[in-house]
Amino acid sequence: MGGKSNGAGIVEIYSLTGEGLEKQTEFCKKDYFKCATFDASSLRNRHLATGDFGGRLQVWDLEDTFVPVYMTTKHSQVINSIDGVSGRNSGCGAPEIVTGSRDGSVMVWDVRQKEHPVAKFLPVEGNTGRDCWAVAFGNAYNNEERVIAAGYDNGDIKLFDLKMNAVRWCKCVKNGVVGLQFDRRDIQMNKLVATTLESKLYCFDVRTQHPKKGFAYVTEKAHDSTIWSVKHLPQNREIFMTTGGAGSLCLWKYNYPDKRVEKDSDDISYGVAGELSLLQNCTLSDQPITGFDWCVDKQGLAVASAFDQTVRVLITTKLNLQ
Amino acid sequence: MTQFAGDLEKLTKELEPLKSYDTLLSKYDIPLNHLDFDYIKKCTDGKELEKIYKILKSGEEGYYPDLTNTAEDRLAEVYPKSKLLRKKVQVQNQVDLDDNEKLSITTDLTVWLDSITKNNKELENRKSSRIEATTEIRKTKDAEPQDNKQENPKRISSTDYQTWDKFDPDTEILKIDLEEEKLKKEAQEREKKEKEKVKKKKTVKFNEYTTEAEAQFISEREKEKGNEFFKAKDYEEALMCYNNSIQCRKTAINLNNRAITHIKLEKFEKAVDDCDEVLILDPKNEKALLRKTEALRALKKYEEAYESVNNCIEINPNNQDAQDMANKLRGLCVVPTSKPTRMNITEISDDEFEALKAKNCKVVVSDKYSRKCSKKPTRMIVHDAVDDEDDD
Repeated sequence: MGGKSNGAGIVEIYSLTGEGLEKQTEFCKKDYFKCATFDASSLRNRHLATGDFGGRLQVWDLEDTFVPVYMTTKHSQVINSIDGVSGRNSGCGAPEIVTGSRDGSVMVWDVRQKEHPVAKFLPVEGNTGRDCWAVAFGNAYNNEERVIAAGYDNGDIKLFDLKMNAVRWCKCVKNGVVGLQFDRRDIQMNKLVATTLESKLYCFDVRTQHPKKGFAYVTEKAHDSTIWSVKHLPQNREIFMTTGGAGSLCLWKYNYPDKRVEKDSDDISYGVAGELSLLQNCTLSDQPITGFDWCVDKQGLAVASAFDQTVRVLITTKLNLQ
Repeated sequence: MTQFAGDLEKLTKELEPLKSYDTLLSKYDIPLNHLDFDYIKKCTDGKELEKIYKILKSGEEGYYPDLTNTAEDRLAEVYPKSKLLRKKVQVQNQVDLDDNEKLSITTDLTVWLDSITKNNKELENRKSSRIEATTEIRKTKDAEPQDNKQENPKRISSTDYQTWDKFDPDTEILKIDLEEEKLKKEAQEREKKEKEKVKKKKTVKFNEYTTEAEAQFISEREKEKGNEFFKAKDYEEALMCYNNSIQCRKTAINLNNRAITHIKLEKFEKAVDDCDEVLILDPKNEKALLRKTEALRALKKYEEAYESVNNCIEINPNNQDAQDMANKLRGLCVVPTSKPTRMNITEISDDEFEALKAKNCKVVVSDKYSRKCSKKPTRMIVHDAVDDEDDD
């Protein structure tokens, strides 16, 4: 998905066959598409939620793309990032979509409620909000609990608690946050990985929050360029892939420390960060890889898209040995 | 113009340290004679090796490919975690793979594609235009604006002497202490709450899925989640996920996994139940037999454990774990021979005793009894009885 030279947005649908990729359909709309997700839709419906440069959130039925199933225009500027939750599995709350926009706002949508967001986090009145570059759902381990992580261009990472409707934690990591993901959305929050400009990535242990120290984290330098995105392996949450601006892919594994929680002198527990080990570092393209996703059904199968306008299907072997 | 001049000044200042740029050798303070085969081979300090390797790679001291390789090899030996050893490789294309690997990958993929298309068709047929969800729409609350900074509003300026006169450091310190105390209490309370929350959380009812494919999908996902929790040693959470998985679809694998989780949580009876269920589905499941043995051993039912491990050895005589387990159990079983035996104990009267004595039979007199009783001790005869069932 993306934009054409004539200013129109385009989505192309491919399917994997024994020989290779086969283009199924495509559809064009008025504005460039920026981001999309299937995660808030059930296995049977498979509605694609997209965010575009006009600030529109649209949900499409891929078999009938004439009019969107759902549409809102509450964001005034481009939607940079989108994430969905609990489309496929029940028991972890309502299916919701979160969008982060250049106008600085983060909004949560339920496709059953027309036009109005079910929750929103706006910048302080009077200030121009920072550009929100990344959003991610997490902590949805039952029907009530849910948090959103949002990353901004000034390096802020904010954790919004949707149950309390308040900011739970805030941290500045110096460089703009480009990618964010919880290791799993539908468990009690465990780990949060943030990738930033200037080739830094941060892995937070978000299990234990200390009132002063916050969350423990480990940081790594890789790719020698912006790290565009992070995606955890659906079959093993300790393994994740990061994609770099120089067309490289890094496969990481998080190793837990011997003891994840320690007590400080006041008997308040704080988290202990583990270690990251690099399993594989490889180059795929000479252009930035901005899109990457694992297959949930088949371990090791992944798809990547890069600025050189190519879609590549990857197979990573021997993942089960880790 | 003045602004330009200022910028220029800044630039030159920034450039200055570059002028006095030293070679890496002097920066790391490493003597030149350390760049030597013998030294590198004996060096055990990972950090120093990293520095030497960096110097050699930079080419500042000349180009020595062999020496650089030696340094790299040594570094890999001494300090394998070094970030300098991270290498980039090109992603292999389909053409580059050797035939065997390619074949195995493609066949694996086509098999999977076939099954997934079948599932896909099932799902597509059941497509609904309605968006169903069991949970309610989130109630819209007015979101509070993000509180970016909470600055102290009553900061006293340094020239405001009147206010400073009123300032009492002792009470302020006390205030701070109280604040900290409060914070501490809050944190502890929150921790307690979190724990309670975890305990009572997940009263999830998994609704009946309309399609088989969906149920399978959820079952698989929950199993994977369980495996992750298990690996991270969060056994309670793992158990919850396996329960969900089993609720969706019962398979030998998720039952087996739940069994081992039960063992880790020391709920051995439940583990045995799970193993038995696996054995109904798949009577020759070695893992289930081994796990059953383990659970039974912990329950001190050594004979049953021995029986189950022997079943496992029967299925696969090369299973080393099973052999080890059997050896251990053999020592724990009452009779150390491979054939289990049963003792028959009978009470006999004095006259019979004398008769048996004459027959030169083995007679045991229970000592305890004789000590306690004032009466004449009762004698018991012990027969060695061989069980009819043959386990080997």
